[in-house]
Amino acid sequence: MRIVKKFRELGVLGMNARIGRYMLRYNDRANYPKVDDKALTAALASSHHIPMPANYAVFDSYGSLRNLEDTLAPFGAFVIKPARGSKGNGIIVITGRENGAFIRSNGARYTVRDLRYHMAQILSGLYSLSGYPDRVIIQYMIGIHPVFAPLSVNGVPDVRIIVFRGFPVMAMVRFPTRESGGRANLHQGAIGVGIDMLSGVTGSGVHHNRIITSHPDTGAALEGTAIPLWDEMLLMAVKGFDMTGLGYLGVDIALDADKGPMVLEMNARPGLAIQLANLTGLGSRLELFSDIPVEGIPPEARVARALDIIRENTV
Amino acid sequence: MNRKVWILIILLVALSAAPIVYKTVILGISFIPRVDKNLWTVEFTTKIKASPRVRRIGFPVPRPSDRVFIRDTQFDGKGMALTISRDPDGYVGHWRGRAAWDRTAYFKVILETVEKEYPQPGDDFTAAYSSKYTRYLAPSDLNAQELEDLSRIEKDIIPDTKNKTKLARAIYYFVYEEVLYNGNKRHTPIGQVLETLEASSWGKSKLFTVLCRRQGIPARMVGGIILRPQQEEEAKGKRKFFFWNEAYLDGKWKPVCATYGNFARLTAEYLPLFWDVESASDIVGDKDAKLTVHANKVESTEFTIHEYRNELHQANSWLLEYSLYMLPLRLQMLLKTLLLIPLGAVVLTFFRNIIGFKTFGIFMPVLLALFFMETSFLFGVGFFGVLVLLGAIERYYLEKLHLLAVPRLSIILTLVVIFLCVFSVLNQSSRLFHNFTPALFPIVITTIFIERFNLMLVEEGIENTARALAGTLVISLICYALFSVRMLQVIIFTYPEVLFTFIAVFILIGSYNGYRLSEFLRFRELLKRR
Repeated sequence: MRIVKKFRELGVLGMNARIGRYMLRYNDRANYPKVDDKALTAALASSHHIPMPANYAVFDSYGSLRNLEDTLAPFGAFVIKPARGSKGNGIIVITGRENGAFIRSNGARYTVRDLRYHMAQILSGLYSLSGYPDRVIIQYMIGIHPVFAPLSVNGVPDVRIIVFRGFPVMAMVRFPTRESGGRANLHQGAIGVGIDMLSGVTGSGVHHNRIITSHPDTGAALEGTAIPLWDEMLLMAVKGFDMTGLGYLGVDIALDADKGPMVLEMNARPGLAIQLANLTGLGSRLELFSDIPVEGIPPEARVARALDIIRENTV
Repeated sequence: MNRKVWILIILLVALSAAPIVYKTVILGISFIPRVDKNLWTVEFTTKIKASPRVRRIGFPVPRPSDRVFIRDTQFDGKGMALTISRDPDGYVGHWRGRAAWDRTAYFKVILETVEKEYPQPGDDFTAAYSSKYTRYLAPSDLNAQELEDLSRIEKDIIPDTKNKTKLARAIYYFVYEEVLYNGNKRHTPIGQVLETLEASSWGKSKLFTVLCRRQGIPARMVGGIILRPQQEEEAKGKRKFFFWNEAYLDGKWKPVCATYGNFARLTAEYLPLFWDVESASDIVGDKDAKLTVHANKVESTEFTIHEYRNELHQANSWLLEYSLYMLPLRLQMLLKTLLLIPLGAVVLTFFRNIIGFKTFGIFMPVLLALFFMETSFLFGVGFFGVLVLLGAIERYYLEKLHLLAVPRLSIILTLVVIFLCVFSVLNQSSRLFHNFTPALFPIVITTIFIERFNLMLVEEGIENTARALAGTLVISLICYALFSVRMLQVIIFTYPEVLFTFIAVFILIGSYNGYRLSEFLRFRELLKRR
């Protein structure tokens, strides 16, 4: 019983409360497709002036895969994604070509045949959330920003910002590891590093629910990295609320070396590990924002308001 | 939680409690049916020799009564037609038709017998009987010597009274106590019995009948079998016919067994088959047919649906007309299984949402538990291992062949079927598992299971997969343990209204916003760092 009390004091958010108190209450089912279908997300994002990586091509049938080679010809580097995938599953990042083979981010070589097979699997629904047939997106490959290079292994990191009722409340940056196979997904062994909302500087991290201070593969220190263009990212994340109408939302933003921050995807069911990355209970942070009026306040003002509230409540 | 939800929960609980209280307290029906103790399969096998003529071969059929309850009947005439005539002297089945080659027809009954104590007959001074009973007074064919012996003995044993009950009792004591029982003797003639004072049950029964009839008491032989577990394994349940009597006393037929000593009482062991017939071959009526009877006890913890059903009928309430017990047996069996599913779901939701277990698919553990029930526990767990192995094959071998999803799954499905075939054949020769029959539905869940397993292996790695595997196995084992509690099964079947309470439980768990137990482990580092 003492441990329950301690957890409550820390404001730890549990799975049941996440679903019952936040997702069910603030996320209207009807809005889910806006974030679950990446093709739809991309279309909405462009109308809300939220930058996203360009889609080179979308495949929706097995037949269309036949001239895959021609379609891919102009692109040296690209990402293959299921439109309705989850947890980064089914994503393959191709970083270049050599002797007609495609080089994957982890160094593996793929033939066209391999890629076609993988894409056929995506089409058959192997990676889709519901298991229904899916579409394949060929997308612009994000180039790793130099700031993140020492902390990234085989993949691109992204910044996850939790947006509650249109206010940014908590954030972390997720670095891929060898174990995660280049995917920035904590479930698969990526690490999450907490970000101080006010300064945009990283703190300690989490790997498989354990607190860490250095990258498990490279040994680089996690603490003290200032996230470039942090204010821009916060604004982008907050606009995600206006775009989706989802009150409890996770916005994943990658930092491209050339084009700056871009929204990779949005998530209506963001995970709970962010609490460990920030050493802060998410429940108590969300509570701060449950009664703040949001109607008619522009995104920029909401960011400023959120940072004020967090500042006031930080000891 | 708001008040509306609480009211709903209270309403649901009341909805399930009210009928239970109504049935047990107001109508006074037993809370649950009691456990069967004396369930037997009795098989009448007729070996028929080929013959060109049209045949009519009889065999005795157990007659339902106040102490014999027929539960199920199966038969196979191997091309012969079956008719059953309900004669007053016992039910008789007949195989009819032409037997062009040798064949074995069987008629199998699953029945329950109970002990029955009849009221002891009062004084009976009846002098004349109606024509219905006079045939039971007819004298037997006896020679002069036998008649003389009988008169000699009667002088010693028959009391000087006109009270037929007293007379019958005296005869009973004589045959029971003075004539030694010898189960190895066959149909001993009366003369020999009187000379040696030793007889088979047939000899005792015949003597009792003759002595009664000579005193003007309507009496008849009853033939049947004794349902008693056999000592000798080789007998395989093969039974000899056993004989006892019925005497018409005080206006009722009263059972009397001068072999095991029962007067107006029959223990559950007696299964009567024919009345006033001296030999079963009279019933068979065909020289080229041989009847054998096998009886084996059904080792079961089944509940007496029959009696409970009668109780429901007697209660005569409109509500009870809709009881599940009024359904055909086969449907009852199916519903019994179906009713376990919500119980499994209660366990599952508890483990997933309160404890925080990971599982494959949502209802996979419950389906697995049903699968364990359907086959056997050992086989179920072994099969689970095979599934994991097949999943690994898919992951590490089939994946490399670059096949599309549906054909790849079809391969797995086919492998499961092949496994079941090979296993069935091996099992037949090794007899590892009794009555193993692969069912249809587990094969389908099997494929889903393998697919999920494989996908998870790809997506979340071995560690998470192992965790989900363990979670699935643990929950399904707990479900299996619960499902195996027969009492629980019967309670839910008897009171399906408890399902409303289950819904209330689901609402309670569903509105629980507190921590899952596993989360204390997951977020434990948050405590340390403060």
